[in-house]
Amino acid sequence: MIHHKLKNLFNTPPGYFSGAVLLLVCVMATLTPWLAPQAPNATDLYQSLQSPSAQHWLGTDKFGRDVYSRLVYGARVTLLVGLISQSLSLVIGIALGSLAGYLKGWVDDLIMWLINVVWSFPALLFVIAVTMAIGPGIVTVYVAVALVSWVGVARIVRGQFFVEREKPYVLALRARGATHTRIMFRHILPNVLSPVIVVVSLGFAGAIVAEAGLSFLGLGIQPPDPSWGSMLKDGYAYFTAAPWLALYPGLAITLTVLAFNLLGDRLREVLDPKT
Amino acid sequence: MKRLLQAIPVLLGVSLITYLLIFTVAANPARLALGVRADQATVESMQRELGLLDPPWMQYGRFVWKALHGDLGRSFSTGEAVAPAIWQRFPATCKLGLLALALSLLLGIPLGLVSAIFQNRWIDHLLRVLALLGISMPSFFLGILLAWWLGYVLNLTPLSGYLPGWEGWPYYTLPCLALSLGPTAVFSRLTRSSVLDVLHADYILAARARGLASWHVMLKHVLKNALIPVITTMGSSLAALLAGTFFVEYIFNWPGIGLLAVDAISNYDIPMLQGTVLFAALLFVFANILVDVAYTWADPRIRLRT
Repeated sequence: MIHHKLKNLFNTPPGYFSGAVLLLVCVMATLTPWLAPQAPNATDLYQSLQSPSAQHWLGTDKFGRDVYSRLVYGARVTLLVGLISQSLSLVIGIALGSLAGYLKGWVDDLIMWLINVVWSFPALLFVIAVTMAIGPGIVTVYVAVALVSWVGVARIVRGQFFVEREKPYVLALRARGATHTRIMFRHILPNVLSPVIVVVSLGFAGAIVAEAGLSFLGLGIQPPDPSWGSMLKDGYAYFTAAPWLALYPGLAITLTVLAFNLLGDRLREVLDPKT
Repeated sequence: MKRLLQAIPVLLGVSLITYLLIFTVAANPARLALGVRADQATVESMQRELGLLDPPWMQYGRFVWKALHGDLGRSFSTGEAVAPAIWQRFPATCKLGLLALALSLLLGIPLGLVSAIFQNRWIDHLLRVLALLGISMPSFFLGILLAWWLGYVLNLTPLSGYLPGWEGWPYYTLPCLALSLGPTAVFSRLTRSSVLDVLHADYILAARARGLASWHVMLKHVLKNALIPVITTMGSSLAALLAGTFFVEYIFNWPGIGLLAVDAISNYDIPMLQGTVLFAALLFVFANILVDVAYTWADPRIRLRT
């Protein structure tokens, strides 16, 4: 039933746009070595801070590295951060959310307390704090983002489980002797997934901003490896002399985040039973 | 009052997490503070002085006890006390944040209203695209763009810095704009959708049928009711604002808490970072309580129930 509805996902003008951007980012992230004319970290000091030209499409940075090549490699980081952090947050969020919603009682109280505590931090601050605790690096970014974004998943799953567990089919399954785990994961879970898909799609957008923000503060991807956030940080130092250094990675972040936000909005419209 | 009591377990959790931050970071904060060249005896005496040899739960208890008395420890890099440093920087952040919040409410609500009134017309489509773009653009990119365009190319505003008092107002322009775009977009989207919900309610039809002027219905009946959901979600916009100040203050060299925290990050100054994160979380919890109070005050249905 879900994939029947999903057929119309990209059927509107914003849909074309987000589909095109996401496809482009995916192509950049998978065919990276063929799309990038130069190695991302190859320096050439004779060519430093060149404005965009036929040779360097998007110009070069202070070390003479090709901005376009670094942008293509950065797409990989962006997509990986989204994929891994959101998979982790799905696992944590579904596990804790379904336990809280199904078992209620003190388990629910405990998990709700945890959710409220994490929600008391502005999300990006929490990510920064976790990153400082574990130490900067790409794996840290995955973990830190997941540790914040599971909360959104868990809340939705918990709320849906509250509603579903009271329905007659659960009682029928109980009477038939189905185990609790079987009821939770085989029967209730598939019924609550559509709002979770929306949360995850918006979570992708959040993860990309978080990675960019962390790298901007020097806590994410470590130099010399390229990520859109760290390129923006480098560009910031030269924004009067070489504005393209900040402009292109910034645009890449904004457009990709926009595409995921549009996708989330559209998914909500398509999957919402009310519409 | 009940709302304040409910916040206590959450605040304990918040302090536990900020405490764990220091505990996991540094197996040995004393070594971190003194540097690699300090000899073992000095490190050990500092450990004893800071109570780092006690069991973790005792250290946590002491951390909470001290924090309750306004003592957040001393900075590793400068040696100054953390709590007064934060308190001293707070006015700059507070002024900037409140100004940005006011600006985003003043811009966002009317834009959302216009969008809803002209639903599915070109102006609505344009405003919706702009709003989504505003949500998607990180404040640190917008800040750089604004600094480059308004500050450098057009040379209208100072690029960065801060002056106290009235003559300092041009310095507010760029950080305030950079900070308020995101919340503006959020408020306009919320206002639009909740105005659309209210527009289809029966009591609006009734008001129209009574022959009230349409602008009167719009402002007095629609907007008043539509603003309730906007108030409830102000909490999450505040979070965005608080996190945004970290980047915006860094970009525009604004001497607030955000800049303090970013400096702490680059110096690996754990107590300072711990203090700023704790302070931001406390501020956020407190702001959410205020939002809840405002919400019960604005919506008589809830006020009557409790």
